[in-house]
This record gives sequence, C-alpha cells and structure tokens, in this order.
Amino acid sequence: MPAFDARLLESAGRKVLEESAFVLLEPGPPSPEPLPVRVAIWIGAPVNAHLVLSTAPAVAQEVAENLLGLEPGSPEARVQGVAALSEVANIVAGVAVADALNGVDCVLGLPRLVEADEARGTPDAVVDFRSLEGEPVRLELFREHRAG
Amino acid sequence: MSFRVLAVDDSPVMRALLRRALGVAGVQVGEFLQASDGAEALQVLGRHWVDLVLADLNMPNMNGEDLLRRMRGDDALRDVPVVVVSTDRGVERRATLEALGISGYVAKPFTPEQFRDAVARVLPLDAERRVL
Repeated sequence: MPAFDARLLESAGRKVLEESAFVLLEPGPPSPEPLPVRVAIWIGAPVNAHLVLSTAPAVAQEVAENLLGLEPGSPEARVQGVAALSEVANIVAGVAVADALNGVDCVLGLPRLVEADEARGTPDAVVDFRSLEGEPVRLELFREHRAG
Repeated sequence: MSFRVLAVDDSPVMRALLRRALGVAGVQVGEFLQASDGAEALQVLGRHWVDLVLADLNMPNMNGEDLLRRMRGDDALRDVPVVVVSTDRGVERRATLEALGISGYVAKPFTPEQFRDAVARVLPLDAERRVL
C-alpha cells in the first residue's frame, strides 16, 4: 500500500488541478506567508488526517472559471472561487485515498474553509506548487496523532 | 425529447458542472432541478417526476446512500434511475450501492466520456447534439 506522503499528495494534486481544473502547476518554493484561501477536509480511518489545500484568491477564481466555463475575471468566478476550491480539495482527497488504499472504504468529511492562522502544527506531508502565473498552491496532510 | 434531471450535491459548483456535463454528453435537459442534500432531494422528488437523479454520496443532513434507501423503499420513487457521482471509490460501499440498484457510478474526477457512458445507460442521448 502506498504511503500517504508528499509524493502521493503531489500526484493527486496534479491529477485533479491539472486534468480537471486545468490549472497547470510546477514545483514551487514554500510561501513565506500563510496562504489566504485554505480549505480542509477530514479523511477518516485508516488514514485519520486532515488534508488542507491552500492558495491565492486568483487560483481559486481560475478554478471556478475553468470548472464552470466562465469568462476570465467574471464576477461569478470570484463568488464561486472558494466553493470551487472546496470541490477540488474533496476530489484530491478522494484520489489520494483511492491511490493509497486501493479500494478500502474510507469516509471523507465535508470540505470547510479554515482561517489562514488556524493552528494545526507541523504537517506530516507537504507539497508546494506554483501555477504558471506564479501563484502559490500548497497541499498539506496533518495526521491525527494519538497519545500513547 | 427532453428530460428532467435532478442533481443532488452539496456543492453548487458540482451541480453546475453536472449541468455542463449533461450538455456535453448530448442530453437534452428540459428541466434541471437541484438539491443540496438527500432530504432536500426527497422534497423535490415529492413534487416532480424526474427521468434521472445524479447523486453525490457525501452530503450533510442526508447522504446519498440514505437517499437511495429512502427512494427504494418508496413505491413512487423505487424505479427512478440514480447515477452516483462521487469521490468515494471504496469497494464495499460500491457493492452496497449496487445492491440498492443504482443505474451507474461515476468516480470524480471523471472524463466527459465516463460521464456520458454512465448516463447513456439510462437516457437516450442525442447524437447530433453530443459534443464528444
């Protein structure tokens, strides 16, 4: 079974963002500041972790434009940006789970917007991208560590 | 011939995407109804006969599996075709849904061809209008 690690996040993130949302990515440096748009989704047992997708508003808007077939810069895309990014996070989590667990049932939570400064500690896996326009995109996995 | 389709998904973006996917697949949609969870879908189904339900699984209030169980237990709704569109790829979950009589299963992310093939098992597609 593949590990739920940065390589898996990179593969799932690329597959969904590039092939479904048509946001082309390249490896990028970590952003020095927390990214303003952050969506988290819970991944249940046996993974027991939160996946967080964060990026700049421009990328969220681009995702909405591409998924919904809207004109670039349309007001509707600005309104739907977070919802579009939430759906992308949901699909990334689903792809990562499928690749890692190979058909084992695993419940996902509902995507939710989180504050940029919401403390989660250090991620157990992280991958940083840049869009072709140079905007940062980050995927993080925070495992639920049980005392023990 | 046009059809009445109900899309059940808590994501408004996904519902809009399904509307686009139906058009690309060549489905003539006469009326596109929407619901954000299973409970809302049952309310819509209580008021409208539909030709096809496209249902997500992971939703608040009432999930897609519970919606399907409720539909299969209702004489008026038991034969309405349901195609599940979900990120869930669990084998046991899929077997449960098939036992409940789903008409198709489309895993997200899906290609236009995958979506079209699932819908084509339920609705006749308009070859002239089909984009694929």
